Amino acid sequence: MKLMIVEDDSFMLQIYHNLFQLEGIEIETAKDGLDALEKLRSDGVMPAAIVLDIMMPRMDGYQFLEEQQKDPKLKDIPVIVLSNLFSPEDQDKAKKLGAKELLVKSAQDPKELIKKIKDILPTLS
Amino acid sequence: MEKTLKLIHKTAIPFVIMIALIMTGIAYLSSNSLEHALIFQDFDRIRVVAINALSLETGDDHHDEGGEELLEEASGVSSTTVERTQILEARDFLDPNTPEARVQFHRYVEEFKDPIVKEINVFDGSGKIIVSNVEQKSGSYVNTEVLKVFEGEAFYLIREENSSDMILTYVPFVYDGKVMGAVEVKSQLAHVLGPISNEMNRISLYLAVFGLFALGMFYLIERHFIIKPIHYLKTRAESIGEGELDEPVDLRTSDELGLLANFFDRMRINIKSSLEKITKFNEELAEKVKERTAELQAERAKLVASLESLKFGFIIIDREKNIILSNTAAEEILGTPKGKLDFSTLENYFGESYKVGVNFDQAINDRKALITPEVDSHNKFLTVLLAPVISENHVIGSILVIEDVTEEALLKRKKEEFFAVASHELRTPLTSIRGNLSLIKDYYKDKIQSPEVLEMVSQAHLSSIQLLNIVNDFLDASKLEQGRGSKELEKVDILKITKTVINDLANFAKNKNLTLVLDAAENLPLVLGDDNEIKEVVYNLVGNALNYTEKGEVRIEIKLEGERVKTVVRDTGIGIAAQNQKLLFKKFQQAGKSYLSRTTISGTGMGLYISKLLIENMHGEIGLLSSSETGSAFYFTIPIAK
Repeated sequence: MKLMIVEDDSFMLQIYHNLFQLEGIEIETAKDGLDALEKLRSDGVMPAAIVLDIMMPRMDGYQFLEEQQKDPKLKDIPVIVLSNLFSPEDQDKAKKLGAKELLVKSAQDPKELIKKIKDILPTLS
Repeated sequence: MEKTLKLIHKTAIPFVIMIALIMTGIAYLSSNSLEHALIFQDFDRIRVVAINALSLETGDDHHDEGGEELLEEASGVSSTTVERTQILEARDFLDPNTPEARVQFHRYVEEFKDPIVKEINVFDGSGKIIVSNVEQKSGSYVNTEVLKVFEGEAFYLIREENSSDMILTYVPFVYDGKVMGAVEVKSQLAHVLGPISNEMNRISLYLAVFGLFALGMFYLIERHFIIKPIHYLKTRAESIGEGELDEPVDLRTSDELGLLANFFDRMRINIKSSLEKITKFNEELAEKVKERTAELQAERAKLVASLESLKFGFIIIDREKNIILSNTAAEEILGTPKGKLDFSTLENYFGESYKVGVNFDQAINDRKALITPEVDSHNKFLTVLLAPVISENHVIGSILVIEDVTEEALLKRKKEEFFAVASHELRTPLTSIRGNLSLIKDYYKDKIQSPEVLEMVSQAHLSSIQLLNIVNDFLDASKLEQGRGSKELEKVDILKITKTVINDLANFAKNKNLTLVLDAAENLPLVLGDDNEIKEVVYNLVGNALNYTEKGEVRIEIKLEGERVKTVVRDTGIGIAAQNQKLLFKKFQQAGKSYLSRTTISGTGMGLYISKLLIENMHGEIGLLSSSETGSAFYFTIPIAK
């Protein structure tokens, strides 16, 4: 069971790395949307879910969602948006583009985050 | 003058003719009756002579009574002539051929010794003249038409003989009730009428002279009393018609013309005063028009100057889409040479970015101003306003205002970008700090021997959360301070939102041993607001109430108040000191304690400030209803959806 984390901030990526390792969840990381798409398409790796940041260089989370939804091979992978953008507009936009759930990065501690992700994706535990 | 005389002639000529006819009539009738009287008098005289001269039986006088009276009246001849000796005896007619009879006849004829008697013939029953003063007439016969004299009545007739009028008188001889014969007396009419013809001529002359005099008088009277006044009135009427109103119409007579002149003069005075009034009114009007024109020009100048000073384009368009007025700013924005602006210029300029024709028609038909913000045209952002101009309930055109909001739009975008970047750039490192501290606290606790270090990590973790909350609230507030933007308000169910919040906070209340009570009116209408924003406000107020209450309850009341739904949150907390009440709803303020001396993570001091911004952006009100030592009550209202 693999989770893909798309996050441009290396410190945050480090935290997620540590956290998921500690929780025993295998992860694949990508530093932006384009990187994620490339990895998904070339490696043939099919993660159980994608945790996606929004504000990233090159290709942001919204653009990634658009591309993902266009790709029949990728469109069924559930996406949890994990971002510090949490205005109602941003939430609406992400939901419309196919995101399964939205979580605010700064609103919880890593331990709580794991719990919420597990609630959203019961297969993960 | 001519016209007046024509009128006078029209009336005078028939009048004069009438007078002449009457005069002639009078002259004719009077001479005729006089002639008649004279002829009759002559006839009667001859008849009387003829009868008197005839031998009549004694006592036969009654036959002549009428004749005598007439004789006396007509000519004054003495009645003694009747008693003269009878000349002719009736027996003479028994045998007229006897010599005695003949002598008697001759004597009878002689009796008419009258110079005017021309011829006397005595004829018998057969009409045969027996005796005549004209010898050759004896033996001839009289005209048969005169034989009617034998019926017993004397008569006369007038006949023309040898071109002169003769009067012939016939008198019967009656003996013993039998007509024996008759006498014919012939005399010239001229001789009979001779004595009066001169008198007649004189009378005619008098009449003629009197008539002429009467005509003259008539003319003079008419001239003085009618022609002259009428002519005067006519002349004055003409001069009044030509506008000479100062000279009075002065005709001092007591007749109808005087009255007419009086009316004329009153009319002249009225016309004069009316004319003066009109003239005065016209002058005043002209003056007023002049003043108003000057005022209007001044107003227009002011208007044009005002419009020219505007930084936005101002155009007035009439219903037929003609440009009535435009300012320089409009021409600059549209890039049109001065004075060359027309409606098609506008259509070409905006093109697809703004359907100016369609919008113009819509604004005019709906009678409503139409504002279109941020029309993206020619690398500019323009706010376009179309406001119909309504005069006396008629749409006479529209005002078109074009504002170049490029700078504002760019600034707004920059602000939005700033908020997005700031959110990201501030939150990301803070989230990283929080995450790492949390990881240490939760997963690496056993690797730290010193409980002091662990406490420091714990405090740093709390501070990072506090700082994140402050940053979040600050960014939220800053964003809200810009207004709602283009976000639409929707119909939302405030009761449903409140129930969700109560559900979320039920555990928190339970942990503090507080009762959470909902007291909502039935059939509450939907309000016009935003689901999430109302939720945030309710969360904030109920959260605060729970935070500051140590025992008792927090009661939420929802009811309809006029056109708004009012939510009141009451607690049984410590209350808010009077000096702190005014600090509520201000940035970074917490009643009761300063955020600088915080001991817990509860609140950033921004909650009520953000709630206020949210409620005001939804056109509602928020405030402190009451506060005392036994508790506080906060309220907010939201307009109902219609």
